Amino acid sequence: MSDDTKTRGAPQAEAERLAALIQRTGRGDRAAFRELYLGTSAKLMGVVVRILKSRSDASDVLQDVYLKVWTNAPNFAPENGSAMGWLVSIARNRSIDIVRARTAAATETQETEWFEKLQGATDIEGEFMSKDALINCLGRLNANVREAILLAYYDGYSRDELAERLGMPVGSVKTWLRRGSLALRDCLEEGS
Amino acid sequence: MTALEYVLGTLPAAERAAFARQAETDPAARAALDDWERRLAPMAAAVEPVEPDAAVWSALEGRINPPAVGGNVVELRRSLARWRFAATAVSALAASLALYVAVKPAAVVERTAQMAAGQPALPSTAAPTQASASRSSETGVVATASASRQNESLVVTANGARDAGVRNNLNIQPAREAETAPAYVAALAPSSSPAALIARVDPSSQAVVVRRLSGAPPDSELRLWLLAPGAPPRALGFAREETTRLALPRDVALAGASIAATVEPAGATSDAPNGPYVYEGRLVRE
Repeated sequence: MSDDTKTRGAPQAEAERLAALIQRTGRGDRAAFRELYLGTSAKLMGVVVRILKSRSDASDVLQDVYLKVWTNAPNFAPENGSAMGWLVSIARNRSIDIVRARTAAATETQETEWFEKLQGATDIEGEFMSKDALINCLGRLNANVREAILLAYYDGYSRDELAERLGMPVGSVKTWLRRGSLALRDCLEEGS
Repeated sequence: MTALEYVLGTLPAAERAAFARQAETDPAARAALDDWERRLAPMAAAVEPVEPDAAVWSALEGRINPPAVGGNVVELRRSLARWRFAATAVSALAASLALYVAVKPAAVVERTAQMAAGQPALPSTAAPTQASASRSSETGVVATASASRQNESLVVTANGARDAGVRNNLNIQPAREAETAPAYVAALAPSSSPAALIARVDPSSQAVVVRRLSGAPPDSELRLWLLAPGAPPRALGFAREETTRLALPRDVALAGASIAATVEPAGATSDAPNGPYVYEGRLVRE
């Protein structure tokens, strides 16, 4: 598996280090798990707290996220995606499970210009997909669709919340996401 | 295009749970989901890190070694954590259990059978916990959070039972452990990690019948092992077909034993596993 990582050629020391830590964690290496936690927990806490809007809830969820990392580490396959991508998707999925299960969602929002922020951010090392390509393709979407995707990804907005925020019926949000999804996929695959 | 909405998280809870279930069995849905995860992965770059409280790690550290569970029908799950614990817990138990089995095997079987036949072997706290945790694995997201909390108390219960067993050999009750198994397995490996294999061990026909379930990675060379307390792993063979019948070695004690699987090169014949146990399950009485 590590051979495959090397053949991609780019200097991805950090990404490879994280991937190796996850693999060691999968073999029951607690020291590796600790190191993985130290190296990634602030990022995942950032992801989780943003969606849950509560530091205390986020702490509980972060714990669950790392328990899942510990349990699922044997399933991690570096050839299917980056280490950070794998970790972030566990954190986001878990957080969204929690907010979707809540009956009344807390909708107070801190305004963030996510698109600009994304444009200014440093790439996460080891991502197979280029951030530039994604920014380019997001930039080609209708502004409302782009806004919907960003708010859903970063702030965990549901369809209803997006509808309220964008001032349109829920059905339209669904349609827009569907169209946006096709356009985004086609754009990204064109470039790859 | 449900996959994008799943990954973004915009699906309502019920649709979200339904898609998660679909992705467990439908390779196309799984692939669509993975593709979107990959496409959107660079977005995480814009998230600012937030340092978690030190309490998170301390709590986590106390939770990463859940106890193993006991039994003759095994459900093999991706649960290395349980195996890791089992490695230490079983070795701690092995001396007393193995000794007891060697001296009075018939009594153990009889006793276990009584237990399975309806003695109230479960501690009273374990029964409701099991019920709600298994519900959680069916309904998905809503109950998962509480399942993981219940898991904590169940771990304590199971540990308590085990400690009692260590103090008194006669109290080692595989049936009791078996009944608690689904509860905390569900919490540690929620619906995204379905059981991969089911193995049925039939001592009367000296056979181990292994069924691969949808959770088992296709085309993987899974080699099965019988892990009896205090004994080296015994190779059972490869589980390649949907249902594979393997020979059960004659001279093995099944009480307290586990069945585990490694991923190995095709045709491997070594006496010892070549890799980590990717699935493991304790034998529980059928």
